[in-house]
Amino acid sequence: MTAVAVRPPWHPSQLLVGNASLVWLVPGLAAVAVLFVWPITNLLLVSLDGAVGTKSPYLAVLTEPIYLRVISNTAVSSLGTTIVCLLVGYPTAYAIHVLPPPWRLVVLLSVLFSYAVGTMPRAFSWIVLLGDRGLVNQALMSAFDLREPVQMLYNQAGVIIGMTHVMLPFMVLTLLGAMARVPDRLVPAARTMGAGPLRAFALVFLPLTMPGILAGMMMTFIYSLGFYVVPAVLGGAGQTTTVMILRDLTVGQGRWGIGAALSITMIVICILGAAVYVSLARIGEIEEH
Amino acid sequence: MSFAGSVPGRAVTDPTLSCGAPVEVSELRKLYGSVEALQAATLSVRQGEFVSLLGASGSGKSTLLKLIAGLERATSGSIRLGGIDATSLPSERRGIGMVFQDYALFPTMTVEANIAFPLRMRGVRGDEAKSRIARVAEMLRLEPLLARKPSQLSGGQQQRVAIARAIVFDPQILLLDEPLSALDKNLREQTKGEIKALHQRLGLTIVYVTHDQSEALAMSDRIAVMDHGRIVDVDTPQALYARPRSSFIAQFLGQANLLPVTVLDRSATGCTVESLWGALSIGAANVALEPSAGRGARGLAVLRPEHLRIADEPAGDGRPRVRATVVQVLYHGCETLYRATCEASQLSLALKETRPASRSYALGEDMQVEVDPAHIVVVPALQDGT
Repeated sequence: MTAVAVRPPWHPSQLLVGNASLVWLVPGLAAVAVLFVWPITNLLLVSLDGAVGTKSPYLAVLTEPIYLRVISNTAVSSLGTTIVCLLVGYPTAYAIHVLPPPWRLVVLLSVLFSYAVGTMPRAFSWIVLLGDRGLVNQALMSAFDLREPVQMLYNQAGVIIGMTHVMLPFMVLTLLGAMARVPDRLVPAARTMGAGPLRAFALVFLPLTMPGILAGMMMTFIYSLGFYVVPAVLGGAGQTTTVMILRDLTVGQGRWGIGAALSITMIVICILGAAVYVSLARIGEIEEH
Repeated sequence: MSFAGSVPGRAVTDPTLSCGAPVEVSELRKLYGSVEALQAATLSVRQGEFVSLLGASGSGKSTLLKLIAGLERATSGSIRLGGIDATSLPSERRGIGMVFQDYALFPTMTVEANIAFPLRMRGVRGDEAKSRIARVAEMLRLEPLLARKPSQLSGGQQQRVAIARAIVFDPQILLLDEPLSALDKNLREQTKGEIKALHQRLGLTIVYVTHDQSEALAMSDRIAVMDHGRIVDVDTPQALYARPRSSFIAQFLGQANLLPVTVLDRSATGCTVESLWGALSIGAANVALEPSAGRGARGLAVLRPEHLRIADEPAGDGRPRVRATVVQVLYHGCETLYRATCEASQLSLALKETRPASRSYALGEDMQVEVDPAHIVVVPALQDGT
């Protein structure tokens, strides 16, 4: 006698098991296709199609000094923001990590509280603080008896200060996550083996948070490449970023071909940044396994 | 591992090795908020001695070890290591080796770098470091694993790395925090022997935390039994097992039948108690009752299951007997565990039969249970409410 397979009537719960559950990917994939793949493809087509005369817009982006300067400006500001975020964020995250739980929550919330204010008002508030007659300059001038105010606005320093302000919570949260994954006993174990607090930190704790450092840096860098408001408010004429020039090229002048080519170039830079992160992270992984 | 000299006690074979340092803990207390994790613990571990801190979780044994290691600060009391006051010394200046429960190996470093870490912290480098690493690697069979990362090792291998790392700089005191709890049974038995052999070979002082009474019994020179943040008793495994001073110790170390008895008569040479078997006389060495407990006082008789004998032969040889009905049989190969209930008193007895030739009893069968009064210990009855 052969067993007769029992085939239950169809029921929606079957969509929760096996290959049928892949159906839940459809809305997400559709959104990505419509909102991301299609526009990017379009962008790519426009950039390839938008030749000015016989000159490819890519050639213009990669040879004309204005675009190179804007790209390098954007990259330097982003890199500076990334480094300052790490230098300020790591000690902050470490302090939060070692605080007793109730205080940890209070400090963490105060870090996140800055998100209650939008990027625009935050950028403008830096003008109040950093301007020639601002709070910081008045304090510096009276403290060090300076005749001239220190220029902190409308230059790269101002842009980096403003962008760091926006990106710092991201960095702190990423680092905190990495610190939470460090097993509790490793630092005490290092102490029992003769390591003082500093060496236990540098030789045991810090290397274990390296994945978080890399992830935080990558995220800060890539996100910073796309800033518009902060450099527009706090940067000078020399701090034009790619996003600002893109807006000018496309909305202002209608030069869609070169705008598209510049956009694609920035996407490639982002992908390169991500690739560096992935390869570094993978080296770390191989070391672990 | 096969070490020359399985002589009990210390057998230092290498004269260059350290010989252990005493650990003296006095009136040590630790409060976490208002919770008293450790209440005025006093314990003196002699040079080269193997002492286990045995207790259930929350008994304060790990707290005491952390205080000795300097991983926690004592609320009051003092710790002396090798005769030096270490109460407020940071961990790194106590010169202890420590093996953590989850091994706490550094995941980013190779096995070799892990073992080298304590040497590096002491400025021992180059050939000196190499030869020390080679020595412990040989001792713990780690030579083929030196280049690996901890995540590439099995649990047992990680454990040996943790031990190697703790002893590589020849500490005089080795602290072990439940080092076997993450291993499977066979490996546990093997590692027990290895730790014991290591102790005999290196002669260092060992403080060993465990919740497993068989580990404590097998390895220790002395056991400190802990409960609710207190050291309840400290003695050799033999003394604690054969002559427990309280029903808590009797039940915590090994299996025990605890049967209510009443004192009929008490004298300098011992006492007579009324028990399941009628009147029994107990030698003074086996009486742990309060000195004030005289006639009429209630106590508990401690009877190990292996000291109860099933009497197959019909006629008694003078030893007291009682009739009981078998309610459970657990066959273990080398022994059979019976649980039997006495009809009259409704008391339940656990018996261990190890004689292979003896006849087996089935559920519901009656048996005669014989007792040897020489093995009975009388301890105070539990107070109401405890």
